[in-house]
Amino acid sequence: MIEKDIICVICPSSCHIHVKGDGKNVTEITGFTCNRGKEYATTEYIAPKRTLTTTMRAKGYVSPVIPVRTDKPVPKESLMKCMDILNNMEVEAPFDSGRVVVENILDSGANVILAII
Amino acid sequence: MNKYQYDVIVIGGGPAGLAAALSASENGAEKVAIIERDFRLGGILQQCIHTGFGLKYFGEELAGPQYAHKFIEQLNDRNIDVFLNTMVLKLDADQHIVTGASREYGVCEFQAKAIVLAMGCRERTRASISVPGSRPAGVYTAGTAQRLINIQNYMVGRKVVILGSGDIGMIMARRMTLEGAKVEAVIEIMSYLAGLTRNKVQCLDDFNIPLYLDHTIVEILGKNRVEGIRMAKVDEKKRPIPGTEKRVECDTLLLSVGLIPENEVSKGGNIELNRITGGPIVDHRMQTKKAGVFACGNVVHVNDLVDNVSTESKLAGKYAADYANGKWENGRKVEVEPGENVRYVAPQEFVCQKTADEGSKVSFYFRVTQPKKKVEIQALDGERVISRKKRPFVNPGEIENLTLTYKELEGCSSDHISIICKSVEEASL
Amino acid sequence: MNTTADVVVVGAGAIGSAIARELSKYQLDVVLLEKNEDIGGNASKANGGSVICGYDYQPGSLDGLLGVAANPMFDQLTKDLDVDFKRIGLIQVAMNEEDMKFLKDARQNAIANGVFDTELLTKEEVLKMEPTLSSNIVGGLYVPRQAIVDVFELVIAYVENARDNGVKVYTGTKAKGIHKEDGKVQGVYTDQGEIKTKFVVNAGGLFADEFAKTAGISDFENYPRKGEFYLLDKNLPYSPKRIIAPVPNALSRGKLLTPTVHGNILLGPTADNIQDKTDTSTTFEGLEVVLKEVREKVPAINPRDSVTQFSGLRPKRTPDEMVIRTVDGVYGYVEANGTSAGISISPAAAIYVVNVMEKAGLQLVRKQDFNPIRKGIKMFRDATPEEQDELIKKDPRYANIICRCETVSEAEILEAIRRGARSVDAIKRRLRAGMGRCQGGFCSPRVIEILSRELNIPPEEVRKNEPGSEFLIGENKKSVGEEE
Repeated sequence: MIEKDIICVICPSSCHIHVKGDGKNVTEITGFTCNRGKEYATTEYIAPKRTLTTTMRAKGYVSPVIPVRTDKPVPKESLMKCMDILNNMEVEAPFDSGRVVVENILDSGANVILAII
Repeated sequence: MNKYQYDVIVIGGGPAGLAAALSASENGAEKVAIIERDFRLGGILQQCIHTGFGLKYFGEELAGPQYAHKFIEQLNDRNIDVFLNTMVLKLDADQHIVTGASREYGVCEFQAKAIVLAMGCRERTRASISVPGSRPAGVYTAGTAQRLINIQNYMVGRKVVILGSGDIGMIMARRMTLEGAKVEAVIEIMSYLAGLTRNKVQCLDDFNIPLYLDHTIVEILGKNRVEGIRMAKVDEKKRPIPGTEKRVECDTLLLSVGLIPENEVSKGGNIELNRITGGPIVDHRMQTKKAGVFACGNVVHVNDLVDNVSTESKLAGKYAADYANGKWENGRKVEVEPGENVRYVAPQEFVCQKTADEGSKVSFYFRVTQPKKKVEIQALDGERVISRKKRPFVNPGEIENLTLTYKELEGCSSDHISIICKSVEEASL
Repeated sequence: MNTTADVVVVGAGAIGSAIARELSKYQLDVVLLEKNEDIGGNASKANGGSVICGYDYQPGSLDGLLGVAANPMFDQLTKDLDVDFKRIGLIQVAMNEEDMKFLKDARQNAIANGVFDTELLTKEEVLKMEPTLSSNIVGGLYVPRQAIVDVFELVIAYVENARDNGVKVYTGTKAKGIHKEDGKVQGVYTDQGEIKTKFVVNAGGLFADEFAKTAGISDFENYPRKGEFYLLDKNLPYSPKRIIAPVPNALSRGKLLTPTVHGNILLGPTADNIQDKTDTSTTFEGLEVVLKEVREKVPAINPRDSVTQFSGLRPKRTPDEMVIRTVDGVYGYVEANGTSAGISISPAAAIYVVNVMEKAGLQLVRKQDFNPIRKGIKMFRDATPEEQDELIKKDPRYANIICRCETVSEAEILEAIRRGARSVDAIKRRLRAGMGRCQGGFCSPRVIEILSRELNIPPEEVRKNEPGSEFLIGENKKSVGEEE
């Protein structure tokens, strides 16, 4: 049985949620005070995801690099692999906020978009 | 020398200045200008590429530049002049003249009916906490490192120790790890996290970066470049405990030891500052002690969410517009002071308004001195409790607020009220 | 580099630089060597910032004589060299009757040194002059001619003026030894080759003994006595107007409170003999002791008002005394070593040393075209708004404010680089960029970029000071295909 202690980050309550299961399925979950917390802890237990924010090299931009982000969270384990991919690319004009620069990175369903001023 | 006339001038084009300028324009100020020293608007948000902004204000989770973008694109619909690359040299708070140095226009004199100070804040340095040791290259405040990495694309080091568990420190721990550095430790002198728990989870735990509470750095090592640090556990008086020293090898030390409102310009204008916040004393309309000079954002007190900055700054902009348009009232002042377990309150004054609706609300923002669970926050007029609210927990890293109505404030018998924070058991005694 | 010279001066701290400037008044080929990457020496860059007047030295001592003689020279000197200087005066305070007795003796000692204008003060008089002092003070000795100076600017000005008058200055060049033959100096070995010369001045401070030994001179040793300092913010309400000094103890003058020419307050120094000649670290204990003692004089002092802490190493000498001498058997060698007040005595020490050299056979023929005037870098922050407007119209880089705490523009930084600054610290000492409240937090990324651009070096080669103090590892996100 795999038990995990998860601190919820959805709101400042920071509830300590205790999750039990086999790693892929949850059998017991306690300590949450709202449904968002329950959902978060469940996802965190089974397949934690994170939004990646970083910079990419940019050609013809006002600075050497440009801020980007994933438009949805991606699997936590894939963060460093995503960094590798993005660090080896260069972005060019047009520099429009929200433009997709990498589609469906690592098959995660998330796009990498320009997150600029 | 170029001279300009405006109804409202906003010093600073970061989130506070942007919200204030837009609000001033929306509330009837015809000629509004923003003076910004950088080559573009956005302030510190330009380098805050992480997300966490806008949950409250826009209901979306945005990266810093995206949050700024939402304000900047609104400027197009309004007649607001923006002076970029212009550094404010002097503020004459009595005559309402702002002097700036512009690369394009030379020395400029801006005459305004109302001025809004929105200069933000700066970082506390190694010196203000007196870290002993040598003075090698490789010691950075976290924000400076953030700029070098996120804007200039320079890597500051490979093996990093971070002093201070503030949000900036934790964010940089993650950022540097993502860019290939090894973060050896985050060291915090207090017994509790200085920043948000969410950042501990997503920046430290996610990357197995150890957090040492109740610890401090007792020496920086390295002749020309940082070679390591010595850390030690501290006692209740925050003094290093002999025998607990440990050496950690690193080539970079990041400091995330606090932010200070950036008030050089305010001091030059003889604006009275609050000793504890380090920012101007302001009333509920965000007016400083100098008539027609307003302040908002981190220059008043260091906020924890930019969303709150935007809300406060909208107020400042509105009232600056009112002042510029002659819609101004002075009245009896009620001072709002920090009491038990409250470190500071902003704004610090309420000015009674005959013409305003007595149901109008004022939010008072404050930070507690100690973390506490199950508390009741109270506003006290002498012994009488004017307003109260319960919270499951409070901690110094997160700003709290208490909202009072004009009626409640004007009904005070004394000219001083205090905001306190006691445990629920004590409160019910 | 010059391979021959009439005189080689080793060490570009206050003493060496002043000597080089003095020599540049004569028709001589002079070379000034400094092993650090920038001029300024070591102790001359990390001290109390005051210009002593010699009142409290042992009458008859050489540094007392030089201190008394140098003090009045500063007014004209700093005017010629465009250096900030203020004659603010000093009050030595007594905390008890024993101290008061000491001060009475000190006044007599001052008279014996030729300093006649000190005055004993009552408690009331002291507190009237300095209201922020503690009421535990029982009296004081007022020394009106004690002064403060911009120590970085002074040495930089000596060197710039010397260079303008023909002196060749080489930084990053270590003088390794003296080439002696038949009891005479033939040259100076450096890490860039030998300079043939008949006269060498040893102004090497803490390292003078090592240099002297190469000529067989081993009758003295230099050792470091560390002094730790706090530098506090500008315009603090509790700042004294004058230098406040305690009654000294055996090791040192004690911890003073010294206003600086820029409005900061310097607290310190401590006095601890250490082993390592390069250890300029600050210590927990040292800083604590400074704070404790200065708060006895000004109780309101708050360490949170500190802008930075640093330490300097006094170049002490055993046997303990200041020495200016020639040495039998090493004709052409002159030594000026052993003072803890190099800045203060420098103008007088320079003349004294050149006198000694003349007596030792150095031919001195005055130059007709020696120019004593040196103009400092025109600072945007010191100009009037109209002048600032003119400057910007002439060069828009004057409006590109790089250091916001001290208001330093890109144009001044470029001028500092033109005048020889090659590192962030070198720029800092010339312009104060990075000396303000944020201690370089705002400006250093921009200064690094300017240095990289102007010196045409990659940003990872930009240094804080010496080689090894580079700020950056390199660029992130190397191009595809590039090896790490």
